[in-house]
Amino acid sequence: MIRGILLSIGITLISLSLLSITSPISNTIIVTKPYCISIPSTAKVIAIMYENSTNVTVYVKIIHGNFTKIIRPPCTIMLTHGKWIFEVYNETYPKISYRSINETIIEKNVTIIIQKTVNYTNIVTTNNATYPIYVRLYIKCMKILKFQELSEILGIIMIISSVFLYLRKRF
Amino acid sequence: MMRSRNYQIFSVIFKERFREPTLEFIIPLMLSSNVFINAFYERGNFTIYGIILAFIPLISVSETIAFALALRNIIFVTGDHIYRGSIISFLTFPIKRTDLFLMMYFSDVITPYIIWLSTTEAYILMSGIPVPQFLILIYTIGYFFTENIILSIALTFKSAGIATLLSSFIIGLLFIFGGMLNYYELTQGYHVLGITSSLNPYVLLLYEAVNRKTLPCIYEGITIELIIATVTFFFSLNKFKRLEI
Amino acid sequence: MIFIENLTKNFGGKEVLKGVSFEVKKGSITGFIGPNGAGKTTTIKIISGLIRKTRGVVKVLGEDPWDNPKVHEKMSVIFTNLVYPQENTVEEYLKDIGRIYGTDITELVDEFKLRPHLKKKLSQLSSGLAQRVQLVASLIKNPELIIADEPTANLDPPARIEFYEEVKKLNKQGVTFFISSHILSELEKIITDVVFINEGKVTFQGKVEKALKEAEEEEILLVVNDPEKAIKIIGGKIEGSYIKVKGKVRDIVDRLDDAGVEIISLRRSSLDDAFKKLSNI
Repeated sequence: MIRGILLSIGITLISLSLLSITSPISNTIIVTKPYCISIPSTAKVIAIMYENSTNVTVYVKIIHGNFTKIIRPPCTIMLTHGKWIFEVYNETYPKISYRSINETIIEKNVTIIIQKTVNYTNIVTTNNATYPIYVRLYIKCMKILKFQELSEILGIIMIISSVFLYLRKRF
Repeated sequence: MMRSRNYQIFSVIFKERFREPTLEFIIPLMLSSNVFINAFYERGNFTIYGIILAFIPLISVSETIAFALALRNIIFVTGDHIYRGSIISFLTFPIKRTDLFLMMYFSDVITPYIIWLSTTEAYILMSGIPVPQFLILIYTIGYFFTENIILSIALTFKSAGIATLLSSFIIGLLFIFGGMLNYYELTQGYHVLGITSSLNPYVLLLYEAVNRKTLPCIYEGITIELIIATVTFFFSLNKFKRLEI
Repeated sequence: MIFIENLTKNFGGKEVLKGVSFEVKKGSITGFIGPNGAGKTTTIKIISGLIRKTRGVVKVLGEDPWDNPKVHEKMSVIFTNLVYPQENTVEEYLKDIGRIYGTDITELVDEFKLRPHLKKKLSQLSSGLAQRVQLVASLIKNPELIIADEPTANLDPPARIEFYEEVKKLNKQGVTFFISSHILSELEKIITDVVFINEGKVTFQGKVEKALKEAEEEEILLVVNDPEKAIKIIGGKIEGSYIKVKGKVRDIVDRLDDAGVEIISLRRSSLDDAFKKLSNI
């Protein structure tokens, strides 16, 4: 019984260490509040950030451990093992403002001052962001076991032990 | 070295339930079926929600196997001995009935649980997935709750068919309708959620995962399950001690 | 060995044993005789610790047998059918029991000629072989007392003879037997003591000779070469191939001899007759 159990567990461990889930999964998350995701060490994940096409530019703050970065979407990053936080940092948008200017025209020795209203574009930056960002998580693959080498070694040891026990019983 | 008599009797009982190649088949199956934890975890964007889904009985293959193995042992091995009269061989061993019952209980119920626990914990360790131990506790209490009910039924109704049908019906009713009741309670107001959570605590766990809120009444449910499991265990022990063949 | 006093057992309001009292002495082969439904199996199961008594005193080897490992260490029980899990082989069954009691089964297996059958499953054994296996299993623990509940009910005549030969042999080695049966003709050849039970009550207990004597007026069964002539001389009635007549053996033999009638076989009162008489049947 022990021989059979060792052999079957050994084969299972080796199989699990070689396997991974390779069918990709894609999810889009709408980020309005800070979004946190913990990436395991066994997964390969890509995050694609984008905003909707308005005249507003949203900046994203990404925090990962001690690392903080402000980026402007669209942007693609590889998510490594650990905790990642995505939050909307600020947004900028052009604001059309109006002002009055005095324009002086000299005509036939007469100086005429005309008051004109002109518009100008002002870039406004605000931390009270109202527009969301979109984070598309693309999970490429996920390994089954974290300690692959260890399970392979354990599996091989178990198989060898079962063979050894079998031979000992036989001879 | 001459092993003790009780050990030899236990060995006879154990070997009868786990002849070759039962363990050679069950242990790797339970170990490998835990890949669904990875799949659900990945699908759930690496959140606790996916992990909880993976640990719901009937969805989790290894939990279902452990439950089914214990049910088979109780109804179709121990129960079968009682229904056919071959329990006489064991009752005429030089051992107290209480000890015999405990040996049978260990082989029938505790061994499948130990196999499930060790394969699951080993898998959690090797995969690195952060499974909260609370899920293990929930399944443990639920497992003994259901298996002790099945044992009481098997010892009360001396027929394998009746025991199987009645057990499946009662456990299925509790789990499925309990889940529906919990859902209703969660959406309509928590009137008796503490009591209904004992029937199917997984609905509450999913609620906690989705809403990121903790529900203290889940502990009431676990306590009720534990009490029922204990009462049914002692009921079965008493029934076995007074068994007349 | 076995002491029973005022044993009563009720099953669902129905009294199956009504104050049974008897004793089985050490070194005896005691027959426990009664018709079907008399309470034999119930009594045996109470003695074996498989059923609880309702009232009374039951002592086996000085102790109450219910849930008592000490009694089961020195007592073995044999039933009509083998009650061990049927999927096991003979070897597994005997080795399991051997390990529990710390006995090597090789000698017993050879003595009872079970070696060719070791790999067979218990469910595949013939009745005679199964009974032999049961007997070997009961001997593994070196019992002082063996209780057998209708052990030969499913056996053919040669197997029954073989079984009873083994019983006699073991009894000579000091094993006490308590055997229940309703087949009296074979049992009476080996038992030393007898207990009659009918409708839950003991109607007689004691030595076999005493039981036979208490049958009083002897009924004699004869097989002769000329039954019609014999009837005219000694009277009686023909039952099958036998002539049944009451009287003294010597007198009847002399009269038939004088008339030239050949006596092929002659049988005196049996336990059957004693049982019927003492149980008022």
